[in-house]
Amino acid sequence: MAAAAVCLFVMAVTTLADALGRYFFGGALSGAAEVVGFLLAFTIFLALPATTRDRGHISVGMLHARFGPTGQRISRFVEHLGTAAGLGLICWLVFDQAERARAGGDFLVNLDIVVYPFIYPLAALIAVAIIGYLRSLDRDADRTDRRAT
Amino acid sequence: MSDPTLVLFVAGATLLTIVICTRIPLGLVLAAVGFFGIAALHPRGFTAAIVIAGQQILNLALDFQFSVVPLFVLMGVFVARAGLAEDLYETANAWIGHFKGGLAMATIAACGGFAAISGSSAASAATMARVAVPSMNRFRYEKGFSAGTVAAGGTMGILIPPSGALIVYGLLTEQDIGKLFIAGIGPGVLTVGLYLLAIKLVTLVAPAAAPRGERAEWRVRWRLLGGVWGVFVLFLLVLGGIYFGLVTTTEAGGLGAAGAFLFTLLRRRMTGSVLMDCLSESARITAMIFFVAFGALILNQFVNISGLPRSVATAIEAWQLSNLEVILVIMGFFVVLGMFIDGFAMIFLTVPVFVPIVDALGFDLVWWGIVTVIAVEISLITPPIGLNVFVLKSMLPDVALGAIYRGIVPYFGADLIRIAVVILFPPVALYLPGLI
Repeated sequence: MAAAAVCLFVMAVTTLADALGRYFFGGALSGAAEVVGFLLAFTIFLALPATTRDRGHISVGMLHARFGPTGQRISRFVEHLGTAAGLGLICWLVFDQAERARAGGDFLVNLDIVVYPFIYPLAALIAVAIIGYLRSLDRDADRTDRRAT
Repeated sequence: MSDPTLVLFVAGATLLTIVICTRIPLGLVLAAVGFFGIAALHPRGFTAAIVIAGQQILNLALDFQFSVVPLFVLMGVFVARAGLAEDLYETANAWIGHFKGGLAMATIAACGGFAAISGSSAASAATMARVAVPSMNRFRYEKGFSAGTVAAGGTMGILIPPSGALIVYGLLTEQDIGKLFIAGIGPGVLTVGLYLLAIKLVTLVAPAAAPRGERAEWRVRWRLLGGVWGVFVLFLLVLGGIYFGLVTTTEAGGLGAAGAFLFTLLRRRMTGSVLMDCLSESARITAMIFFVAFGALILNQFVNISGLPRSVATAIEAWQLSNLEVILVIMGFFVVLGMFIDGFAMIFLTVPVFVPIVDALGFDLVWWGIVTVIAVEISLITPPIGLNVFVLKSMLPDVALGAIYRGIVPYFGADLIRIAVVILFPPVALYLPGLI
């Protein structure tokens, strides 16, 4: 989470410097928009593992609490499976975009650098989120077992 | 390629069942349903779905314009840490607390002021509950009414700009977030006015529910007003900058976050660890918002490919419904949906489906954004599930849920008038953005 916080801080400073540069120093920072775009992406994906592990995503599940113990177990199983599979889908989609960017030689116009080396890490961060989520389930199960004994 | 009607029906039923029965993150459900829906309907099947869905995710994540989301979130988090809510309430209380129902009026005014610098409803309700309810209890306000006042006042956080809900709406519909902010001012002022009127009516019908507070000396009033200058400065910096075209929305976000940081620093509430906490919290909220937005955008592509907007437009023509009747039907959906789902989830679920329809009918999407956010605001205080009501209940365990809902009734009446006014007289929302 600290890395996401740093990205956000740098993004805020870059945006501010860009605005101040434009109005007071006669020119914006070169490539600031592209840098801010990537900082935004990294803020999102670096914060993803902790947000997922701490169940920080928006969910509804209003019937979950009304189910009996068996129903809740099934609902939780579907939740865990669905969350891991859903993140897996997003990971695959982002990885595919990285592959396409590499094959197409996509590059940033102002900064004149290729894009794909920045997209693979985004896919990797989603994979980290999946692993972290599954490990947190293990810990939850351990805690439940200890309580039961 | 499959039959679009069948695919839409299966997708809709699957989406609702999973969303209602399990706690799988909403964004992931929306993304999966959208992805498989595109694969079922597109002539190039899964190949197309992979490309379209992947592009939606990366285009959104890498678009620098949407850095406005974390920047305004950061501004709100800084402001909450600066302890501004307490000062706003104290100031409003000093000025109008001595009227009948004055403490409730001060709560609404402070909620409006806090909303002008923070974009979250639940945060507004939680903060104001801590600040305003003890004071109202001291003057023997009816407990349900005081809790209802805070719950309703808190909803203004997502309408009065800078609003998290309007940013999300702009993000999903590619509407100008600056225009959406400016469009929120008129309805925001209308909300405060109608809520104050509702309190006045309560004091006429049940004077014991909302007695007078203490009268503050003029010297104290001016001194307190001087303490909340930061709210006005931040509001002017952000919205004035956008309105007069001095800054883009993204730059306004950067200036707002920097201004809020300085303000917190000046109030001696900023330390290294507080800064890190604020940044981490904002990053977490950003990840949460963007992950649902990814899903909603993928679902939106599926809805467009399915031809649903076209089919609905044709059906509307066949049924000879007027545009207003269509809007009323959609409002009916909002009311039903709002009973069970609220907040951002409602925006993410409804925007991909309703916006293409409303767009096809030729309505202004900035206006529709305001209507949507007002509908979401109402959902935050309507039974059986009203997020703000639950926030209040958790903070005031001795007040019954039923009593809070009863306390909300006058504000709910005001809300119905408000949404009717905005629907029937779009210039209430569109006049100011038209001047930009």
